[in-house]
Amino acid sequence: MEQQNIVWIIIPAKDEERHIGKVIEETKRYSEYFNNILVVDDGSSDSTTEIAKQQSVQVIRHIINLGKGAALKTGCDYAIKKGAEIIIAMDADLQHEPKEIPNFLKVLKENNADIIFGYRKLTGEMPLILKFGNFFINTMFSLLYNIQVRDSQSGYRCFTKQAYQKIRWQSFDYSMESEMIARAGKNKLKYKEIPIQTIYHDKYKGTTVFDGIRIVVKMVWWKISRSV
Amino acid sequence: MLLWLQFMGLAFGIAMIYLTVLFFKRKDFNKTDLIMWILVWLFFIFMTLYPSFLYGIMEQLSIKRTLDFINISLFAFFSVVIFYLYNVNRRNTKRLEEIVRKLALEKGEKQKL
Repeated sequence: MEQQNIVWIIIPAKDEERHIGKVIEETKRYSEYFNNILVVDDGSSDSTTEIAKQQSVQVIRHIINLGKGAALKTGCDYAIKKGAEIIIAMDADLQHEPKEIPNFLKVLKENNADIIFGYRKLTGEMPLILKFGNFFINTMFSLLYNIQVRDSQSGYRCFTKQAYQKIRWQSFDYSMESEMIARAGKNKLKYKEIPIQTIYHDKYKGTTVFDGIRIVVKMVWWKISRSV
Repeated sequence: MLLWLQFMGLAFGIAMIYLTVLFFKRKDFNKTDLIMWILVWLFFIFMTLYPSFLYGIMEQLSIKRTLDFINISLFAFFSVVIFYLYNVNRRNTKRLEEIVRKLALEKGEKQKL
């Protein structure tokens, strides 16, 4: 596929020395579809930055850990300043398959959409607690924001520069993914969903049950306070 | 004669005044902080030594027991303190985020590939 828009891949990472090299390597196999890879090291205490730099990609670093939301926002701000027109956000823990990148771009362009959400298929691999948590949060989204998404917690997403300006979130942490959807719903952005393959490498990382509860509380608060 | 409870209250008030002066000497507190906190502790000591001072206020508020009055006052005081600290914390978190992100972006600008 011939790309016309300037596409940036943004990978927020925290203590991902085990996976980041492989993620970049795998992503580079699809380099014809994008212009740049940007790793945002969110205050890692390991050699995430050094490993990423060895792969000759751009790395920016938070001197302390702020959270995934802040890291992705820094990455998006930087990419847009450098001329990015389309941004693909993916996780640094090898959960997301880079082979989906062409599909994200294809669906975005074919549908003239603002934002594409990747959704994880409910396979046996997904831990039961995640399935339930996701179902609960998705239902809350439908009730509060009138936006139907299959997977509100997947971080694999693609959006345009214009969409980013409308969904630019305030959350530092994992609730950023929810805030992004809430803002997309509020601004009536055109969205599509595509199925993605997900591999669970580390069950102790990512959104916990407590994060889930906090996200739901925040969703209600955003609605009441009309901040989103 | 002082009751044990009053004695403990007095000792606590004096210890807090000592700490307040110590923080001022270490330049953690400015003059306003010093005066404000010393007044708070002096008021606390005064109430401990002369609890009858409170009876007039309690009567106005229809509160029968001194302990109830203290509980209600402390609840109101700590609610204000928590609200204030929450606000300070939010502001500092936001500032910290801005600084960290600004530093990251500036460093990124200087980076050569």
